[in-house]
Amino acid sequence: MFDNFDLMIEALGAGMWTTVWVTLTSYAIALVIGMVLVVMHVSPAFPARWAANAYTQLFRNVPLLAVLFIMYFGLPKVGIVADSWVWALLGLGMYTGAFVGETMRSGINSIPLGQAEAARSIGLTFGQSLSSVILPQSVRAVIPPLGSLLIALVKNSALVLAIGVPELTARSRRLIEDTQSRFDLWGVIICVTVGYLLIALVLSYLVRIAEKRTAFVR
Amino acid sequence: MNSKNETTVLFDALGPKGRRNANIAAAASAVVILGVLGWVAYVLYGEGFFESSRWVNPLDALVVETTWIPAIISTLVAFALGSLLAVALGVFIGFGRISRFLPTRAASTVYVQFFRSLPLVLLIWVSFTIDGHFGFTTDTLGWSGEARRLTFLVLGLGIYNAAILAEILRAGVNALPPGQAMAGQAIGLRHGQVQRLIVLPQVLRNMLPAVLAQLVILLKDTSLGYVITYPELLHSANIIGRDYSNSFLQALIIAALIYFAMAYALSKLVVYAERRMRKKTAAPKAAAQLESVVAGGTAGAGTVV
Amino acid sequence: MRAFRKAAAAIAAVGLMSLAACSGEASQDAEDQESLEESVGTYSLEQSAEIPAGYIQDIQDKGVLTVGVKFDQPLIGQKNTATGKIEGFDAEIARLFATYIFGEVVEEGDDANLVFVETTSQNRETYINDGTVDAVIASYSMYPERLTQFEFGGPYFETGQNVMVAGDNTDINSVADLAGKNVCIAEGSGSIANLEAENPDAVITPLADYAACAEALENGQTDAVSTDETILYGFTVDKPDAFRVLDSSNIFTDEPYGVAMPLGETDARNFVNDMIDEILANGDWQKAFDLTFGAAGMPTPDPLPAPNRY
Repeated sequence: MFDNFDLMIEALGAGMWTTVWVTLTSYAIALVIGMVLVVMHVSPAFPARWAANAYTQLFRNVPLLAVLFIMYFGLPKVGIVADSWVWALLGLGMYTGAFVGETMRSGINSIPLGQAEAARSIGLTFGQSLSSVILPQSVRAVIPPLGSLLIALVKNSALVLAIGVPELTARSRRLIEDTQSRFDLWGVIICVTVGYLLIALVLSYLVRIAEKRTAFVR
Repeated sequence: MNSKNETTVLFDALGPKGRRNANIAAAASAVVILGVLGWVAYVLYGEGFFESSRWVNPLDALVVETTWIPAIISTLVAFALGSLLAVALGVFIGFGRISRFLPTRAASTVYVQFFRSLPLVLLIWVSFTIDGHFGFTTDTLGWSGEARRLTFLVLGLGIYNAAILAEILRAGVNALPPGQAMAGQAIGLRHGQVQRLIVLPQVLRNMLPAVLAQLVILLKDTSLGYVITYPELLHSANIIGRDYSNSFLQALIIAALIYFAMAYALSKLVVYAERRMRKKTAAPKAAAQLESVVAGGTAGAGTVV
Repeated sequence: MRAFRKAAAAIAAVGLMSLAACSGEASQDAEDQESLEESVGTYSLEQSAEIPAGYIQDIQDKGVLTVGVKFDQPLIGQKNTATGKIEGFDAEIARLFATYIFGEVVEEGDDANLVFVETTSQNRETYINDGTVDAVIASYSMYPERLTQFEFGGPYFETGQNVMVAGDNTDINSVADLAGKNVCIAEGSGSIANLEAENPDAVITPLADYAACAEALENGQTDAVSTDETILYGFTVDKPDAFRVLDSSNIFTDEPYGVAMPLGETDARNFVNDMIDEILANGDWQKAFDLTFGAAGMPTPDPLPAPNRY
């Protein structure tokens, strides 16, 4: 079943590494975009709120694959050319950023109004009450959903195979379609499944640690 | 949704000076945003993005009739069948997860954890590839060509989303105050009756918005049919773009706009359902939880609680 | 209610967009295609005198021939999105095949007897194995190792692997020049192994299909595309300025295109070979060529292909 095991592990290992770094890098981009969106969302300037809303709606309602296709195959038609991995990171990051922004926003909203009222009534300014009362609490509230977004991103990262990034799914497809048929179908399927389960397991473990670290007794 | 309250508590009501500052900020950000948009439009214009022939060719009446409309129908068919399968299987597995019978619970948990960790694109493609390795094929059942690709797209969408819907359902059951079930038992209902008459109706009502939100994602995920060349919207847009290669970007953008219109309409339904359902439930916690589930998007509900 | 109104407005906008569209190139293209077909004339092939029992007989009884072809390769198999018709040499061979079985080709309506299913380089094998299609006619080369997996009728066309670069590229002039360059090849295509054997220093970056590769080459995201010259030729016809195919002396493989069917169906294979012999003799092969490669300016190959009855 596991013919040419060493070759297979080599290829899938490389794919797994690509999946991991693509996921983590684009997640970092998504966090930055999400934060900018939140700031725009709560800002008093309505055009900023409007723009943040438009961005969120756009990326929430268009398939990720369409976003990637437009970026990689479409944008060069108007003179914007970049390598596939650049678009992979940007596409995944911008798409996930919209969801991160929404998650953070609902994290802020989940803090009872009384907290803000209390902060204001002891004389803290807007900035102070946001930075020392609201945000620290909402960070704790958003860590679990942000964690599930990270796991979702691992799965979404498989889509970048469509623009030629050799991540785990792409590598396994290539093994199965090997022109010399050196690999067994089931062996590859088992290995690629184990690969994704491993990544998901490790990441959710890390998320749980982050959760515990920030947990507090209310 | 309640960001209005939030901001009014965080800010003092603005005085005349503050209001002037806010107006200035608004104007400044408007200038920045319009500037960026204008610059983008200018660059696109320079590249001939708006040339009418580039938009007219992929939207030729013949192309609309023979390619766009069948593509939209294919997408909607995959969405409808995929949703049906996902909801049916999801309810089944979801109740398996809270069953009193340990093996059922274990099996459902394994199902959920397993399928939630795999990329949907892998599921669709693997189920498509292993067909024929069991000694029989879907072809022997009389499915061929288009129907077969549809089958595997629907299977992939259904199996994957069922795992996520099951989690949403479980979160809904857990959010229901235990007093509801206890009250049922107190008036002498059996376990099954409690589940069927008291828990399920409330949970379904509670979780409807979250389920619909997941269905929006399922609609977008039909685009993954491209890996098995199912002629859905995105794949067809690609083929049109290749037929009229000057309009490649335009064809993709048209497809994206159609997806947007469909998904946006569906997500408005979510908001509407949310508003109606909020009033009719015994679970005060549920509303807040729902919001995070909805925001979690593709993530599913399991770890959200 | 506002939400509903917005949604309705969005849907109406899309509807209007499609209504506003009336006639672009598509109508003109359809007319051109029609006049081309008229000038070439119709095929003279008739139903085969004897239908072999088994595979071909089953297809005839079923009343439908399902063929896997490519939908995005100009001149070989490309879907015309305006008429829905599949154009290209592979598609013409499929039409002749259907004629040989049923006596006539019906592609539309409920009693259609020829159905095209889109295949890509990666799912051709799956499609034959699980019976999605009755035959694959999709620029599928009869390599020795493939002959042990499927029955191949043909070749009905012969070509070889070459290299295509961007029109303004001057530093790639031979396969050896590909060392260290990014070369795009379709996922699952035999061309990957061929190039690996010919020039192991080329960096192969697979995309889903050759249309995507051509797209990437035009966008400057890859340095070259390498596959069968016929496929490359199709792209240069569309955009003579964007692409340049290396001189034919660089061809480094033999690619005999065959009609693939499940292993063991020897009668079916012979049936296809008989058909190819017949269309070569009665001029239908030439007509199919004139409709596709010929119309794009390719000279008729010499010698013509001859079925390989292995």
